[in-house]
Amino acid sequence: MTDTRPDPTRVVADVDVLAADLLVGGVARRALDCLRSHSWTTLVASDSLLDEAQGIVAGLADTDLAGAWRTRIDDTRRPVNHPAGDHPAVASALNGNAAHVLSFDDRLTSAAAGTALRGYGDVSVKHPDAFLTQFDPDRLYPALFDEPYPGPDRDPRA
Amino acid sequence: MDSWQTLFERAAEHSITVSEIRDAVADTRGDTE
Repeated sequence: MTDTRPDPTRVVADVDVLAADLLVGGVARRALDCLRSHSWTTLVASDSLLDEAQGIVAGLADTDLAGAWRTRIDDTRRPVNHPAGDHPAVASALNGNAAHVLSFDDRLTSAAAGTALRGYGDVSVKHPDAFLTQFDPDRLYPALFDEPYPGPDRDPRA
Repeated sequence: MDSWQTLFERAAEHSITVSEIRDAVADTRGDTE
């Protein structure tokens, strides 16, 4: 871990959210559109997290799509390393100094899991819906950069 | 490299649900709820 203070602009999406962003849309895509739309945010992901997501996409859709997705997400994410066997999303956040983990897994988003995770760092696991409610670029940007929020600065479909 | 728009259009050819994704992830991780 490089810093004990999590960065509110760094976000990890668990395998289910990454796959749902691509294959389903809905709240997962809206949540990740927040990152794609703002150059000052960062998607953090380890190779093992992306390996697992690529395998899920290949299994549910096809390997060509999974490979194309991997090429695109590799160009987008900030890579991070963690020990083999760790939960890939939580470990990506803890080792990548990310404040948020997005997941559909109720066991990770529960209050009990949150309490347990606080023993390792100040990472918060959220359902994508909760992230959309709490992540407010209009409020966060001025606090971080001492300038008014300029609005989205990237095409989320590029 | 494909754009996100292209990837989403390709993915839309498949009809996948969040439940199917969660089940697939649980199978991969060997989860036993």
